[in-house]
Amino acid sequence: MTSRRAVPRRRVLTAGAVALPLAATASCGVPEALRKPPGLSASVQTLLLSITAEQALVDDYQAVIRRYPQLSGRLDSFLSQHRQHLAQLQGRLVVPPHVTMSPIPAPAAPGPSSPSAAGSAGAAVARLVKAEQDAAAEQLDRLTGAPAALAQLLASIAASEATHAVALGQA
Amino acid sequence: MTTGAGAQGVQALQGILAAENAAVYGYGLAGAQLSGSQLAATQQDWNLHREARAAVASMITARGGTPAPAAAAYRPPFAVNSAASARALAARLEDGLVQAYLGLVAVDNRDLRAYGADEMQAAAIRAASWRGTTVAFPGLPASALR
Repeated sequence: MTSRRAVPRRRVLTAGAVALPLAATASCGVPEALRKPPGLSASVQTLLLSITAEQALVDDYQAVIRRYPQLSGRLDSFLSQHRQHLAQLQGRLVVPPHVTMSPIPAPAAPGPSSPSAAGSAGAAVARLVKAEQDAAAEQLDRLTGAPAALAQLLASIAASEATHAVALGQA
Repeated sequence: MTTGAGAQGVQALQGILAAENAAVYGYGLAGAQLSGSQLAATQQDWNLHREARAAVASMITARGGTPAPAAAAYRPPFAVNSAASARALAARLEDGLVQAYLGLVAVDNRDLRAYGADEMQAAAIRAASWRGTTVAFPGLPASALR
Protein backbone atom coordinates (compact mmCIF):
# COMPACT_ATOMS: atom_id res chain seq x y z
CA MET A 1 0.00 0.00 0.00
CA THR A 2 1.31 3.40 -0.90
CA SER A 3 1.50 6.14 1.68
CA ARG A 4 -0.38 9.31 0.79
CA ARG A 5 2.72 11.26 1.83
CA ALA A 6 5.06 9.37 -0.48
CA VAL A 7 7.09 11.54 -2.83
CA PRO A 8 5.88 11.19 -6.44
CA ARG A 9 8.21 9.08 -8.59
CA ARG A 10 8.70 11.81 -11.18
CA ARG A 11 9.97 14.21 -8.52
CA VAL A 12 12.43 11.60 -7.26
CA LEU A 13 13.82 11.13 -10.74
CA THR A 14 14.17 14.88 -11.23
CA ALA A 15 15.98 15.28 -7.96
CA GLY A 16 18.34 12.47 -8.88
CA ALA A 17 19.08 14.04 -12.25
CA VAL A 18 20.16 17.25 -10.55
CA ALA A 19 22.07 15.55 -7.79
CA LEU A 20 24.32 13.50 -10.09
CA PRO A 21 26.02 16.37 -11.95
CA LEU A 22 26.40 18.30 -8.71
CA ALA A 23 28.15 15.34 -7.15
CA ALA A 24 30.38 14.98 -10.21
CA THR A 25 31.29 18.65 -10.11
CA ALA A 26 32.03 18.51 -6.43
CA SER A 27 34.33 15.53 -6.86
CA CYS A 28 36.19 16.76 -9.97
CA GLY A 29 36.32 20.49 -9.29
CA VAL A 30 35.57 23.11 -11.95
CA PRO A 31 34.66 21.65 -15.34
CA GLU A 32 37.45 21.89 -17.91
CA ALA A 33 35.41 24.19 -20.17
CA LEU A 34 35.19 26.80 -17.40
CA ARG A 35 38.85 26.81 -16.34
CA LYS A 36 40.09 29.14 -19.08
CA PRO A 37 38.66 31.58 -21.63
CA PRO A 38 37.36 29.84 -24.77
CA GLY A 39 39.69 29.71 -27.79
CA LEU A 40 38.94 31.16 -31.19
CA SER A 41 36.44 29.23 -33.28
CA ALA A 42 37.44 27.90 -36.68
CA SER A 43 35.28 30.57 -38.33
CA VAL A 44 37.06 33.37 -36.46
CA GLN A 45 40.45 31.94 -37.43
CA THR A 46 39.32 31.76 -41.05
CA LEU A 47 38.17 35.37 -40.88
CA LEU A 48 41.45 36.51 -39.31
CA LEU A 49 43.45 34.80 -42.05
CA SER A 50 41.29 36.39 -44.74
CA ILE A 51 41.55 39.82 -43.10
CA THR A 52 45.33 39.54 -42.93
CA ALA A 53 45.46 38.55 -46.61
CA GLU A 54 43.19 41.43 -47.68
CA GLN A 55 45.16 43.93 -45.61
CA ALA A 56 48.33 42.70 -47.33
CA LEU A 57 46.78 43.31 -50.75
CA VAL A 58 45.65 46.81 -49.73
CA ASP A 59 49.18 47.50 -48.48
CA ASP A 60 50.68 46.18 -51.73
CA TYR A 61 48.48 48.38 -53.92
CA GLN A 62 49.13 51.45 -51.79
CA ALA A 63 52.88 50.87 -51.84
CA VAL A 64 52.92 50.37 -55.63
CA ILE A 65 50.90 53.56 -56.19
CA ARG A 66 53.26 55.50 -53.90
CA ARG A 67 56.29 54.30 -55.85
CA TYR A 68 54.69 54.49 -59.31
CA PRO A 69 52.07 57.27 -59.14
CA GLN A 70 51.47 56.97 -62.88
CA LEU A 71 49.69 53.66 -62.13
CA SER A 72 47.14 55.31 -59.87
CA GLY A 73 44.41 55.60 -62.49
CA ARG A 74 44.86 51.97 -63.46
CA LEU A 75 44.95 50.57 -59.94
CA ASP A 76 42.57 52.75 -57.92
CA SER A 77 39.41 50.75 -58.67
CA PHE A 78 41.08 47.48 -57.65
CA LEU A 79 42.39 49.07 -54.45
CA SER A 80 38.90 50.39 -53.70
CA GLN A 81 37.42 46.91 -54.13
CA HIS A 82 40.01 45.40 -51.79
CA ARG A 83 39.11 48.00 -49.18
CA GLN A 84 35.48 46.90 -49.56
CA HIS A 85 36.53 43.26 -49.09
CA LEU A 86 38.45 44.21 -45.96
CA ALA A 87 35.53 46.16 -44.51
CA GLN A 88 33.11 43.28 -45.08
CA LEU A 89 35.45 40.76 -43.47
CA GLN A 90 36.18 43.00 -40.50
CA GLY A 91 32.46 43.66 -40.06
CA ARG A 92 31.87 39.95 -39.49
CA LEU A 93 34.57 39.59 -36.85
CA VAL A 94 33.41 39.46 -33.26
CA VAL A 95 36.36 38.75 -30.99
CA PRO A 96 36.15 38.13 -27.22
CA PRO A 97 37.69 40.96 -25.14
CA HIS A 98 40.68 38.88 -24.02
CA VAL A 99 41.83 38.16 -27.58
CA THR A 100 44.09 40.48 -29.56
CA MET A 101 42.97 41.32 -33.07
CA SER A 102 46.17 40.66 -35.02
CA PRO A 103 47.54 37.14 -34.52
CA ILE A 104 49.55 37.36 -37.74
CA PRO A 105 51.74 40.47 -37.68
CA ALA A 106 52.26 42.19 -40.99
CA PRO A 107 55.88 42.64 -42.13
CA ALA A 108 57.41 45.95 -41.01
CA ALA A 109 58.65 46.79 -44.50
CA PRO A 110 57.98 45.35 -47.96
CA GLY A 111 60.34 42.50 -48.82
CA PRO A 112 62.37 42.30 -52.03
CA SER A 113 59.68 40.17 -53.69
CA SER A 114 56.86 42.56 -52.86
CA PRO A 115 55.14 44.30 -55.79
CA SER A 116 56.37 47.74 -54.77
CA ALA A 117 59.99 46.53 -54.76
CA ALA A 118 59.82 45.69 -58.48
CA GLY A 119 62.22 47.63 -60.69
CA SER A 120 59.59 48.99 -63.09
CA ALA A 121 55.91 49.83 -63.16
CA GLY A 122 55.24 46.89 -65.49
CA ALA A 123 57.04 44.47 -63.18
CA ALA A 124 55.10 45.85 -60.22
CA VAL A 125 51.80 45.19 -62.02
CA ALA A 126 52.95 41.67 -62.90
CA ARG A 127 53.64 41.04 -59.21
CA LEU A 128 50.19 42.39 -58.31
CA VAL A 129 48.69 39.93 -60.80
CA LYS A 130 50.51 37.10 -59.02
CA ALA A 131 49.43 38.42 -55.62
CA GLU A 132 45.78 38.49 -56.77
CA GLN A 133 46.01 34.94 -58.14
CA ASP A 134 47.58 33.67 -54.93
CA ALA A 135 45.00 35.48 -52.78
CA ALA A 136 42.11 34.03 -54.80
CA ALA A 137 43.49 30.51 -54.46
CA GLU A 138 44.06 30.92 -50.72
CA GLN A 139 40.51 32.19 -50.17
CA LEU A 140 39.18 29.05 -51.88
CA ASP A 141 41.32 26.88 -49.60
CA ARG A 142 39.48 28.40 -46.63
CA LEU A 143 36.00 27.42 -47.83
CA THR A 144 36.01 23.91 -46.38
CA GLY A 145 34.17 23.82 -43.10
CA ALA A 146 33.18 27.49 -43.16
CA PRO A 147 29.54 28.34 -42.43
CA ALA A 148 27.50 28.85 -45.61
CA ALA A 149 27.29 32.66 -45.44
CA LEU A 150 31.02 33.05 -44.76
CA ALA A 151 31.88 30.53 -47.50
CA GLN A 152 29.83 32.55 -50.00
CA LEU A 153 31.53 35.80 -48.98
CA LEU A 154 35.00 34.22 -49.33
CA ALA A 155 34.08 32.67 -52.70
CA SER A 156 32.78 36.03 -53.93
CA ILE A 157 35.95 37.81 -52.82
CA ALA A 158 38.05 35.11 -54.48
CA ALA A 159 36.08 35.57 -57.71
CA SER A 160 36.63 39.33 -57.53
CA GLU A 161 40.36 38.79 -57.08
CA ALA A 162 40.43 36.39 -60.01
CA THR A 163 38.82 39.07 -62.20
CA HIS A 164 41.41 41.59 -60.95
CA ALA A 165 44.23 39.29 -61.99
CA VAL A 166 42.81 38.89 -65.50
CA ALA A 167 41.99 42.59 -65.92
CA LEU A 168 45.41 43.69 -64.66
CA GLY A 169 47.12 41.23 -66.96
CA GLN A 170 45.24 42.50 -70.00
CA ALA A 171 45.54 46.23 -69.36
CA MET B 1 15.17 9.71 -52.06
CA THR B 2 17.68 12.51 -51.62
CA THR B 3 17.82 14.18 -48.21
CA GLY B 4 19.70 16.91 -46.34
CA ALA B 5 22.79 18.26 -48.07
CA GLY B 6 22.05 15.95 -51.01
CA ALA B 7 18.66 17.57 -51.61
CA GLN B 8 20.20 21.01 -51.16
CA GLY B 9 22.84 20.09 -53.71
CA VAL B 10 20.29 18.91 -56.28
CA GLN B 11 18.25 22.08 -55.77
CA ALA B 12 21.31 24.28 -56.29
CA LEU B 13 22.35 22.24 -59.33
CA GLN B 14 18.87 22.69 -60.83
CA GLY B 15 19.33 26.46 -60.42
CA ILE B 16 22.66 26.23 -62.24
CA LEU B 17 21.14 24.11 -65.00
CA ALA B 18 18.42 26.72 -65.52
CA ALA B 19 21.07 29.47 -65.75
CA GLU B 20 23.18 27.39 -68.16
CA ASN B 21 20.13 26.75 -70.38
CA ALA B 22 19.36 30.47 -70.41
CA ALA B 23 23.00 31.19 -71.29
CA VAL B 24 23.01 28.75 -74.21
CA TYR B 25 19.90 30.42 -75.62
CA GLY B 26 21.04 33.95 -74.79
CA TYR B 27 24.48 33.61 -76.38
CA GLY B 28 22.65 32.72 -79.59
CA LEU B 29 20.84 36.06 -79.42
CA ALA B 30 24.05 37.92 -78.62
CA GLY B 31 26.06 36.26 -81.37
CA ALA B 32 23.65 37.52 -84.01
CA GLN B 33 24.72 41.11 -83.18
CA LEU B 34 28.49 40.56 -82.93
CA SER B 35 31.32 40.02 -85.35
CA GLY B 36 35.06 39.39 -85.45
CA SER B 37 36.80 38.55 -82.19
CA GLN B 38 33.63 39.20 -80.17
CA LEU B 39 31.68 36.70 -82.25
CA ALA B 40 34.51 34.22 -81.76
CA ALA B 41 34.33 34.81 -77.99
CA THR B 42 30.56 34.30 -78.13
CA GLN B 43 30.98 30.98 -79.94
CA GLN B 44 33.60 29.88 -77.42
CA ASP B 45 31.37 30.75 -74.46
CA TRP B 46 28.31 29.18 -76.12
CA ASN B 47 30.18 25.89 -76.53
CA LEU B 48 31.42 26.10 -72.97
CA HIS B 49 27.89 26.53 -71.63
CA ARG B 50 26.58 23.63 -73.71
CA GLU B 51 29.24 21.42 -72.15
CA ALA B 52 28.53 22.82 -68.68
CA ARG B 53 24.80 22.13 -68.84
CA ALA B 54 25.48 18.53 -69.88
CA ALA B 55 27.89 18.15 -66.97
CA VAL B 56 25.44 19.66 -64.49
CA ALA B 57 22.58 17.51 -65.79
CA SER B 58 24.76 14.44 -65.21
CA MET B 59 25.50 15.58 -61.66
CA ILE B 60 21.77 15.95 -60.97
CA THR B 61 21.05 12.50 -62.36
CA ALA B 62 23.90 10.98 -60.36
CA ARG B 63 22.28 12.36 -57.20
CA GLY B 64 18.89 10.83 -57.93
CA GLY B 65 17.31 13.97 -59.40
CA THR B 66 15.75 14.64 -62.79
CA PRO B 67 17.28 17.51 -64.75
CA ALA B 68 14.65 20.14 -65.48
CA PRO B 69 14.23 20.64 -69.25
CA ALA B 70 15.18 23.88 -70.96
CA ALA B 71 12.44 26.27 -71.95
CA ALA B 72 11.61 26.55 -75.65
CA ALA B 73 12.63 30.23 -75.59
CA TYR B 74 13.83 32.85 -73.11
CA ARG B 75 12.80 36.50 -73.08
CA PRO B 76 15.89 38.74 -72.84
CA PRO B 77 15.80 41.41 -70.12
CA PHE B 78 16.12 44.14 -72.77
CA ALA B 79 16.07 44.46 -76.54
CA VAL B 80 19.17 42.90 -78.10
CA ASN B 81 19.58 44.79 -81.34
CA SER B 82 23.14 46.14 -81.26
CA ALA B 83 26.67 45.07 -80.38
CA ALA B 84 26.49 47.03 -77.11
CA SER B 85 23.24 45.38 -76.02
CA ALA B 86 24.63 41.97 -77.06
CA ARG B 87 27.68 42.49 -74.82
CA ALA B 88 25.42 43.66 -71.99
CA LEU B 89 23.29 40.52 -72.41
CA ALA B 90 26.37 38.28 -72.29
CA ALA B 91 27.48 40.02 -69.08
CA ARG B 92 23.97 39.61 -67.61
CA LEU B 93 23.93 35.90 -68.48
CA GLU B 94 27.28 35.38 -66.78
CA ASP B 95 26.08 37.34 -63.72
CA GLY B 96 23.19 34.89 -63.50
CA LEU B 97 25.63 32.01 -63.58
CA VAL B 98 27.81 33.58 -60.88
CA GLN B 99 24.75 33.78 -58.62
CA ALA B 100 23.69 30.23 -59.44
CA TYR B 101 27.12 28.74 -58.75
CA LEU B 102 27.38 30.81 -55.56
CA GLY B 103 24.26 28.97 -54.42
CA LEU B 104 26.21 25.74 -54.64
CA VAL B 105 28.93 27.19 -52.40
CA ALA B 106 26.34 27.32 -49.59
CA VAL B 107 25.84 23.54 -49.71
CA ASP B 108 27.63 21.69 -46.92
CA ASN B 109 29.51 19.34 -49.22
CA ARG B 110 33.23 19.77 -49.82
CA ASP B 111 33.24 18.70 -53.49
CA LEU B 112 30.15 20.63 -54.52
CA ARG B 113 31.38 23.73 -52.70
CA ALA B 114 34.75 23.60 -54.44
CA TYR B 115 33.12 23.00 -57.81
CA GLY B 116 30.72 25.91 -57.28
CA ALA B 117 33.53 28.25 -56.24
CA ASP B 118 35.71 27.34 -59.24
CA GLU B 119 32.87 27.74 -61.73
CA MET B 120 31.69 31.03 -60.25
CA GLN B 121 35.23 32.39 -60.65
CA ALA B 122 35.20 31.44 -64.31
CA ALA B 123 31.76 33.02 -64.82
CA ALA B 124 32.83 36.19 -62.96
CA ILE B 125 35.87 36.49 -65.24
CA ARG B 126 33.67 36.17 -68.34
CA ALA B 127 31.17 38.69 -66.94
CA ALA B 128 33.95 41.19 -66.23
CA SER B 129 35.37 40.65 -69.70
CA TRP B 130 32.01 41.36 -71.40
CA ARG B 131 31.24 44.30 -69.10
CA GLY B 132 34.73 45.78 -69.18
CA THR B 133 34.85 46.35 -65.41
CA THR B 134 35.26 44.29 -62.26
CA VAL B 135 33.00 44.29 -59.20
CA ALA B 136 33.86 43.85 -55.53
CA PHE B 137 31.38 41.09 -54.70
CA PRO B 138 30.38 39.00 -57.72
CA GLY B 139 27.12 37.15 -57.15
CA LEU B 140 26.37 38.53 -53.68
CA PRO B 141 23.17 40.57 -53.35
CA ALA B 142 23.42 43.91 -51.54
CA SER B 143 21.34 42.41 -48.72
CA ALA B 144 24.19 39.99 -47.97
CA LEU B 145 26.62 42.84 -47.35
CA ARG B 146 26.90 44.83 -44.12
